[in-house]
Amino acid sequence: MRSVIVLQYTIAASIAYLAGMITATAVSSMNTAVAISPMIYDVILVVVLGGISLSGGRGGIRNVLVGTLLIGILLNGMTIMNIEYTLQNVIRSLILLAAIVLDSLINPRDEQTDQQGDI
Amino acid sequence: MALRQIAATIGLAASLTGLAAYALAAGIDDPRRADYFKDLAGKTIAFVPVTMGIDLTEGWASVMKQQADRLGMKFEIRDPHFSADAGAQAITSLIAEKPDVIVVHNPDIQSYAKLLKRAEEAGIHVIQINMRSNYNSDVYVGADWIGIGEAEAKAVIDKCGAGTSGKIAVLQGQPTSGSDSGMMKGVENALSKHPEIKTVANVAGEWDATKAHAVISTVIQQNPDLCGIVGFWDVMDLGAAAAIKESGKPIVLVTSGGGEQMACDSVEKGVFYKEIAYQVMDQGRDLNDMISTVLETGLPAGKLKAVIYSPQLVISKETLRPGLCWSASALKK
Repeated sequence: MRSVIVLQYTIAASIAYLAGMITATAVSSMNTAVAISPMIYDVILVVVLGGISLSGGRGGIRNVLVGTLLIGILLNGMTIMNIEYTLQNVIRSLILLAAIVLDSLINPRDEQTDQQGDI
Repeated sequence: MALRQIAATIGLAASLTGLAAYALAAGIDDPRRADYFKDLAGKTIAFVPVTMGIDLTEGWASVMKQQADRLGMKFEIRDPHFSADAGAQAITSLIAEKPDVIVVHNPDIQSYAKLLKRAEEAGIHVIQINMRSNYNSDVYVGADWIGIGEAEAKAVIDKCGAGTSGKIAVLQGQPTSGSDSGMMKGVENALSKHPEIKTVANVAGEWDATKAHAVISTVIQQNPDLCGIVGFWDVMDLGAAAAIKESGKPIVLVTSGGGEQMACDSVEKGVFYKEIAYQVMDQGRDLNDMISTVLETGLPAGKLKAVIYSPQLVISKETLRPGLCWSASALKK
């Protein structure tokens, strides 16, 4: 079990490294505040829309890819439609709220998932 | 008799002149000098930037620290690193610690407004730098954003008139910030006289080059005949420049910023068509002067209400010359 967890972290770190390299070469700079930026909400949105339960134990990689596409289209679409920045944030937060509420209704916490720990 | 009197007068006059010359040679003490140093020594200046590690805040901090060191003042920085929450906490704890002056760089016009009022009620002078809050404290030192927005839009309009699509995009930083609301007003002012220019996108890059790159890529895909972009901060606009380069289209990018060496290099390379700059080193000097002014005048906090707008510096291929920009890396030496 332990080796699987270590492998998970290693793979995640390598992917993050690769993504960092790509963004750094694209704009020849790096935003040092990226770790504390509101990007985390987009990530949660992707994960929850991809059907991964926030209480753990449910979901698949393919669904997350679909979730990523969905959010990508949403964000790009809002830019293309020239929706005002503050309104964009409201829309994103409403979708996130709805997703989390639905997730807790569809995937309620039970004895098994409770032991997996929280996000 | 008369001759003797004249001689005596001349003699007296000559000796008085001699005395005066003697006094001048010895030097005269300036009665205000001692008070100046005494008033300022031991005072505490606290600086709450949006974040350290960017050219603007590093520049201001280094100029303020020089004066603080010279005059025996304490200068401290509370860096909230782009978090308005952390910044609000920093100001709250500063109100309790009671420094003499807080120099604050607001992330937006609302977040700190009540706190700044409380700080002045507690007797702390508040000086706002470059990004103002809804609350007008003792002093605002910073760019004239409306003027900069007008100048930027005019530069783009000049390039996007007849013979082009006339389509432009506005790349804001954080639309709720004091700088963006002002620049946007300036852009609107300039555009109102040019109905032939069409704003096809008004997007925000959150001061982040990566985000700017992503949104401007999308805007260019949607409007392949885009003519110009009005960017609100040079560091972020490098992302927009990268998106323009990837598209391979001759889109005009005008930006504004602190006039750091990066700006001059980018204008020289043609990455930016123009930068309407506010000079960070001069703003630092303005901050220093206002810090000593609020402390010297002895006015209670919140009474002064002064505004100092920084003059505009246009960085373009025509105005480029060595020494036009300042260097952030040289500050560390």
